[in-house]
Amino acid sequence: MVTQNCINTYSTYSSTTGEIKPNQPAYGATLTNNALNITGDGTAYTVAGFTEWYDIGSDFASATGIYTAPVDCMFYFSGNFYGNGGLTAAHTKTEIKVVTSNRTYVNNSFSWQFYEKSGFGSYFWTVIADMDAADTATYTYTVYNGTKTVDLFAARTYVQGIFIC
Amino acid sequence: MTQNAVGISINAPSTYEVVNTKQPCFLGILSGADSNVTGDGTIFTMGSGNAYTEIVDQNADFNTNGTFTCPITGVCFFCGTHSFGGILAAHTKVEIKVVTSNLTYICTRYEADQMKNSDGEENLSFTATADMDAADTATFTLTVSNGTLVVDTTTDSFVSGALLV
Repeated sequence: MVTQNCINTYSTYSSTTGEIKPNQPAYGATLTNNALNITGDGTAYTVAGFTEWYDIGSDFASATGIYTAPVDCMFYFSGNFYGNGGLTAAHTKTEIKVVTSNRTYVNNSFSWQFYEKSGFGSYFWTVIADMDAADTATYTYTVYNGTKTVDLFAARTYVQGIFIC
Repeated sequence: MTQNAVGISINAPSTYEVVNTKQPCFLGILSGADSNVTGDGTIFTMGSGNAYTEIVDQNADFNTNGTFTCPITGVCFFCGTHSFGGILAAHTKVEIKVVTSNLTYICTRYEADQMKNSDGEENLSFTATADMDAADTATFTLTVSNGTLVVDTTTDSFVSGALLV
């Protein structure tokens, strides 16, 4: 079965594949280059400079890291930030936030001290957010109480999102 | 546009997204902090003290006491963050679980005292994809162990979920 409007197919269904929505917005992207000395002193760094794996709907701006909702929706955001280098014993507070037009989600707050002995560590985050048409979402990474020496490792830092309903 | 006798369920605008305003989906943010709810191994169900404030509750399946009831047999996705403070050195274990009628998912397990930030707090993310039968329930618990009953929840806590298929 194919469901379409006058312009384009937006849903297909078969007994073998189930339902496929080829135009449903979704994106995945990884940091292009290591981000060096971006936080550590309380600076809230908006993570940007991505290389897209996919961007169905073209709603994700890889250079700025800004996702813009095309319509009112519930949208799932997730990702992983990989702190690689520059972490010291002084860095006793870390926050990872999803900042949307409607609200800010403090997804993670913890101390890198758990990882500090090796100087690196990673953590994931996730939320289903209410978005209005043209609302935006960005991702911030803040490490406190030390010097601005904390990096993000490109190959293991990524963001993803998918339009739920 | 697809509709039954009750109302419009699926709409695809000219930008081709499949918008389903009846698909079960919810987002709740904890309305107030709860004091001294765990720390000694007490299993605290989030929302059972101060209720969640519903931001979105499509199809009205989420109770503000923190219980989601699945309207039909399907697969549901849950995610969120539990935020809690008052962590002491003796609190050497934290577990975050999604408790469904079919299965309990231990989503997050850490050494709490090692993870706490410089404010003595933690925000920890969790996620689970769960098989649910019609009328099955899901709740979200926080358990901190090996210390005294002094751990509090904070209003950074939120939970979200959706019926996927």
